[in-house]
Amino acid sequence: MEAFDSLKQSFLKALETVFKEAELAELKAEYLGKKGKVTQLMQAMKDLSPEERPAYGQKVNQLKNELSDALNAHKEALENARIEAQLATEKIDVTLPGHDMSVGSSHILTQIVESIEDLFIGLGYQIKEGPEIESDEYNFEKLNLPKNHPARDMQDSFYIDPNTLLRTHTSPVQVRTMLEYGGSKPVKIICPGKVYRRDDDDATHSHQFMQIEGLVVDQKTTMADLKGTLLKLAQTMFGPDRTIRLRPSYFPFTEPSVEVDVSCYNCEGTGCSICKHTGYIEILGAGMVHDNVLKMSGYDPNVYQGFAFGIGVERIAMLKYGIEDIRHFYTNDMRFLRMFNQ
Amino acid sequence: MNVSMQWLNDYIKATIDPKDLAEKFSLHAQEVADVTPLYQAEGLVLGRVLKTETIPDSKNKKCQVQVGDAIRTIVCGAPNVAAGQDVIVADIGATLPGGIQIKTAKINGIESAGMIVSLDEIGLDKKYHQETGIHVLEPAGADSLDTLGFNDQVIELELTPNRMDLMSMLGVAYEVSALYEVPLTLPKVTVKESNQVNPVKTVIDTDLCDAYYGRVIDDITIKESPEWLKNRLIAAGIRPINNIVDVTNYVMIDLGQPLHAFDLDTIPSETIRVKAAEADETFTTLDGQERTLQKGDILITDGKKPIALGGVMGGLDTEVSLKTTRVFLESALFNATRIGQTSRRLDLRSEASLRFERGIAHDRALLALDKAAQMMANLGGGTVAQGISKAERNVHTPWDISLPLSRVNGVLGTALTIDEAKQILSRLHLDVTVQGDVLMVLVPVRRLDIKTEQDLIEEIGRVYGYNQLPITLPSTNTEGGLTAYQRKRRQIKRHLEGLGLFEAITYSLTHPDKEKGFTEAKGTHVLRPLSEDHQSLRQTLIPSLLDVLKYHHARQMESVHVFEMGHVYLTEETETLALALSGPWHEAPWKVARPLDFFVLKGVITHVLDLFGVTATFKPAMLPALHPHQTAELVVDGNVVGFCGAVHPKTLNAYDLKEAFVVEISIGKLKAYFNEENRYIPVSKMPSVKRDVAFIVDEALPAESLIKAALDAHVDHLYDVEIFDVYTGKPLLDTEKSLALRLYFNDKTGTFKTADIDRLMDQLTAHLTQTLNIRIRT
Ligand SMILES: [Zn+2]
Repeated sequence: MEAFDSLKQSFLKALETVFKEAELAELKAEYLGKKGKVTQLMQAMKDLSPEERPAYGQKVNQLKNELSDALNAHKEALENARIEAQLATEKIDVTLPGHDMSVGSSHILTQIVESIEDLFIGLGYQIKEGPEIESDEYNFEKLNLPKNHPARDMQDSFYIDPNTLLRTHTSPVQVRTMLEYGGSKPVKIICPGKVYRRDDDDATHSHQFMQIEGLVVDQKTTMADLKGTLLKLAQTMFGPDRTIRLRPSYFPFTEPSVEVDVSCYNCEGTGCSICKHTGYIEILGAGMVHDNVLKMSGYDPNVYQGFAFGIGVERIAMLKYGIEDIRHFYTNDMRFLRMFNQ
Repeated sequence: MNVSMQWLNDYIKATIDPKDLAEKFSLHAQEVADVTPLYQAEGLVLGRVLKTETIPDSKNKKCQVQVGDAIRTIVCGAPNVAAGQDVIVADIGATLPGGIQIKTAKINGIESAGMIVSLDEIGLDKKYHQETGIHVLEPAGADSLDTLGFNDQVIELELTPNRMDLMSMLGVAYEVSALYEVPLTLPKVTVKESNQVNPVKTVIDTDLCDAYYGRVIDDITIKESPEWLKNRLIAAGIRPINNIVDVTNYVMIDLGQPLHAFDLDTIPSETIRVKAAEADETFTTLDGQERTLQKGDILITDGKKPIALGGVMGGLDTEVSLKTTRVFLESALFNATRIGQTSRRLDLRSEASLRFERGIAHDRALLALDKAAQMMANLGGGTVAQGISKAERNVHTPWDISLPLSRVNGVLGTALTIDEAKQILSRLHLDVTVQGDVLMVLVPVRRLDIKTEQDLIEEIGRVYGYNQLPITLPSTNTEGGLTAYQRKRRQIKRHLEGLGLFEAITYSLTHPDKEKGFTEAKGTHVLRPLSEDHQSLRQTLIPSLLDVLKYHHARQMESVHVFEMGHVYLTEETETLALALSGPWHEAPWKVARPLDFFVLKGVITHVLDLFGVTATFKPAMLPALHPHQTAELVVDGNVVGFCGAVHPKTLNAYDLKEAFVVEISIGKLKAYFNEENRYIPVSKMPSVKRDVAFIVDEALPAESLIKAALDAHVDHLYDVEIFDVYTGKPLLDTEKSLALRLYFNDKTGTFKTADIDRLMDQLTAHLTQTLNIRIRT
């Protein structure tokens, strides 16, 4: 039995000197291999009596298991040490910035257009678009603005030739739609797009800007419907507590015509610098479609009536976010654009 | 239109607060710009200079001034101060413009209680006067400064072009009477005619004049107008000149009828003829300028030569001067459109021409004539001659409009009764009778803006108050939504934003030179550009986006990736999508491994085209503004739909950039291939097999043609081909390169044996080596 103990002790001693996984295999062969020392002990069993053999065999197996376990434990320890050493070389500074996968942003004007589109889609409107180069006929004449009309002064325009210009509003899209519908079915549309006026660029004027116009024509469209629609628009843009106020105005294509004010979102109507101490802020123009406009676009004013409104997108953005200069929208500074990517 | 509260009081006796009136006006009539005192001074009182004494060693004078019942000692430095004058005193405690407070002060050792002021000191703009020294009230003897208008309030109305009826004090009074439901005191004029007979005959020879009336005022003296009149003109924004000119202006503001005064002694004939000018006729207006006329300008003549450009400006020769003693006063009705054209063309727009252009109340022409004639006689110490010179062609009379109540409520969404509607219109002093459910309205000639049912509905709506209308939504039920393309456009934008690009919106007007090298066509020009930089319509979005890159580079931001969707204006207007990329993208700056290059751009383009359901081929191309060897056209179904590439170093230079990659895709052209349908094909359950093979090919062979040839070989079960390596260098020749293909096979019905794949590979390589001039690299 001493042979067993000394074999075990010599194995464990040898194991302690092994620091490489490859050398472990040699040690394993020396003791546990086919010609290994433990195997030789097993071969010695044939010299024993049949009665002694089972007890002896059990002892050899136990030894074999003990050596095996010791070897495996040592192997795992070596492996762990090796991995840890490797990982130590892979240490990083996790505070360094990641790859730039940040999202960009749609332009703030696009965002406002889309939010207004979504409101009106929910109310059953379609989005109609049209060309930016328009005929004088669609931009003015069919909107009750014949040549020499005094109100043409109000919107000085970029002409390309005497009959063609850059549209000064998206109203010609309304004309095109009414003509397309042929005077016999209801119209319920909004028309977003770029428009152009001969204004020198400064903090509050831009020769190019974005407009959204709305038009509803049906047999029973009323000014009360216009009011309800504009109230929804004002509340979507400036908050659910907003109220609106209508003041008489004049546009050749609508009658009655109104300017629409929204109650000041800053002071709740008590008066502040944003609303010039009036409690209200002017946001858009609107009115009931002029009979002449209906007639010229093929709708019988004795049967149909309608309302229309037009809103400046930049103005809405400037009011909503307190942006002080309209030129920011066209500078496209990423630091500006990024402010609106939520 | 400026409204003097004191003047308004001639017609509206009720007491009305100017701020309240401004509020009511803006909610029911017209926008109010401002309410301001005529003089920005408080604490002004009337004073009479009783005595002045010189002060030794000073230019100042010691004045005894009676203010109310008190006598004040005031030291005054103005040389024109003298005993017997009525003056304006800024009393102790008064505030002058600029916040100057008047206190008792010791001047030249004398206690001075207050200050005798000049017009400048009480804030009157120089455009209204040329006085130096203290202001001396003429004539003396007024009760108080109030009656002279020094404490008046002015409401500034912003009139829309339709409300020409509000361009007179009387017109405003009608409106105030309606809004406050208070009585209106109509003007009454009595002319005291002399025994002298008005000798002037008038004749109209043109349809451009509806009526021409005149009166003659004899023996007048030209002098300054009294204080109250001057103050009313100043409140109206008009500079006082002399009593005759001032009266014409005053009555114009009062009643809305422009008038003109001629020095009758300068007119040789006693017949005044109104005619249409001939082309190129010339005439010297009272500003001394010789004007070349056009056919149809309205001329007032003495029968031979012109004496005034009707409704626009008088003549130099017949102008009222200090020597004038006899005045011929004209009150005429001229054609609105013609006055508009003439005044605009000659740049002679005035208060008078503006009123003619917008439309005059015909029924006030004679009233205005009488009122002005009598005022001239009163203020100039003269007399009005007997009789009116009169010629009429077409004088308006009131017109009828019938308005069914159902239309009123149908448009406004209200439930007004016929009595309510009638009452509202009556408040506006319209003559209304009711026939069943119809309002019969007789419209007075002063309301030229009311011609249709719709005009009357507007009147009812605004007086009733738009803010009293119910709030409802349209009953029209329609299907709302985006079109397929509108949805796609939003999707493309969202994807590009998700990839990290920013959407830009830039100006459509540009300079054609900026487009050189990107497009060959010359931009469409606008007729009157506002600036050089914005003179033509753009044909490409790329220069605008390069400007955006430039802007950021100049501010030390070098990673800039932007896109824009907008219209370009070629032979027709179409929508395009453009991208401009510069600087590392999707990298961490401290470990940039992969610089931006053409293939990053190409990846983005392919992404966008995928969204359209379109596959494009990239065909090597040349554009002067782009890199000659890194530019491609995008070809779909044989049509060029766009281009992309690295920007040429010279172009980069022009924008102060180091690198930039750009693409522009015509969405208009792409729309034809737009495929919105997604289709389901069952995913194969069988394993795929991957094989690699490299070819040595001509250096110029586009990689895409090798891929295309491999797919075109129609080898069974081959479903994808990709390039996974490109190699040039030893041992290959300079004219050669190696392209390594990775081929993917899948058989939905079974698995492959090695021999099967070998056979397919042989088939493929045989096809490729036969159709292209290439060989397998072993
Ligand atoms: Zn406020």
